[in-house]
Amino acid sequence: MQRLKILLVDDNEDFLKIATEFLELKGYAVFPTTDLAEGRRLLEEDSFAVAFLDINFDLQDNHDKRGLALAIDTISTSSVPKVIMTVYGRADYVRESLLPRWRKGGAAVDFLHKENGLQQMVESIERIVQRAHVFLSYADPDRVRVADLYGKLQMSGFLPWMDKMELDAGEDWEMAVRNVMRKTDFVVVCLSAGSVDHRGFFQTEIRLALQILDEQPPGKIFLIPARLEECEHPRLGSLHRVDLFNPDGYDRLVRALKRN
Amino acid sequence: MEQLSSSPYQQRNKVSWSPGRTHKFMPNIFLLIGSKPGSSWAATVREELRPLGELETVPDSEALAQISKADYQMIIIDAGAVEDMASLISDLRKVASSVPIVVATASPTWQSAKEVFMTGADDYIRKSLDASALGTTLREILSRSR
Repeated sequence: MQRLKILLVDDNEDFLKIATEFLELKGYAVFPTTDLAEGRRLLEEDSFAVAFLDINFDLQDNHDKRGLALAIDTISTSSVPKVIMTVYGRADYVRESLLPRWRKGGAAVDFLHKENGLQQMVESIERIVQRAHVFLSYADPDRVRVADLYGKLQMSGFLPWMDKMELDAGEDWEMAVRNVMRKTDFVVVCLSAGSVDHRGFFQTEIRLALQILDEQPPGKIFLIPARLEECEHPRLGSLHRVDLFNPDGYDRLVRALKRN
Repeated sequence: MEQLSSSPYQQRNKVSWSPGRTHKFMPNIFLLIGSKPGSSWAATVREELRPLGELETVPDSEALAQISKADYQMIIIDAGAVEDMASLISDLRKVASSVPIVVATASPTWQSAKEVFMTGADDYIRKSLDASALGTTLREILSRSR
C-alpha cells in the first residue's frame, strides 16, 4: 500500500522538521518546503492527499496580512484539500480561510492552531481524506495509463480498485469484478480510441455499471466516463465525462469523486 | 403580461421585489434568530435590510419551527443569544440547505469562527461593524448566494 502524500508549507524550519518527523512516524509520505512558491509548484504538479499551509510568509510584523493573502491565493491552486495551520488564532484569519465557498477554487477545509499540537494534523487528515472506493474499468491496452491513474487516486486519498492490482492468481476474476462493482462508491470508465469498440469483459463492465447507475438515487454521481484521449462511447454519451488528457482533467475527476 | 409595478408596501418601504421568488410580488424576508426585536442591533439590521425586504425576529427556541413558515432569503444568528450554535446551524441546514446563514458575534474568537464554518454557516461577522459596513456585508452575502 502506498503511503498518503502530505505537503507541508511553512517558513518556520523548526516546526517543519518536527511536523515532518511526526507525520512520517504516523506513516505518511511528507514533502516539506519553506518556500511558498515551491509549495504552489508542487501543488500544481503533484497529487497530495492534503496540504498544510502556514499563513504568515514574508512577514514583516505580526499584523502583516501579505502572508495570509498569499496563502488564500494558494488555496485556489489545484483541488488538493488545504489546511491552514498557524500560530495566529484570529477569527478574521479563520474567516478568510474557511469562508469563500463562492471563491474560485474553494476554501481551505480546516484551520488548525499550532498550540494544539501535532496530533490534530493526523485527525484532520483522517477527516479530510475521503476514502471513497473507486472502481477503475478499462480495456487491457490501456492498462499502463490506468495504472498511473490508480497511483494518483491513491495519493489523493481514494481507494481505487483495478483488477491487475487487486486480484490474486486463481481468483474467479469475473465474479470478483461483479462483487466489487456492486460495493464501490464510483465506477470510472477509462475510455480510449482503442477501447470503445474493444470486445470483451470491458463492455460487460460498462453494462453492469449502467445497471447499477439505474439503481442510484437521483443526482448521485456513480458512473464517470474518463477519456484518456479523444473518443466516443455510444452508451456513455449522456453522462458528463472528464478528459484526463486535458491539464485540469484529473482535478475535475477528483472534484466529481468528492461530490457525493 | 403582468406589470412589475410598485405596490403601496413597496413604495412605503422601498422594497426591491425579487423576480426569482415563487410569487413575484412577495418581498424578501430575512430571519434574525436570537436578538430581541427591540434591541438596537436588531433595529440596525432591520434598517440596513429595509431596502431589500422585511426582517423577522425569533428566539432560538422557535427558529426551527419558524423556518418552515416562510421562504427566507437569509438567516442571521445572534451568537450571544444562542445556547448551542453548532446544533442550531446543523438543524437549520437540514431544512434550509441553500439559505445563507450568517452568524454575528460581539466577541469573535478563532474557535467559534471555525465551529460555525465547519458546521455550515456562510459567514461570521462582528456585531461591532458600523451600520453601513453591516449593510454592505449583508448585501454581499445575499448576492453571492444567488
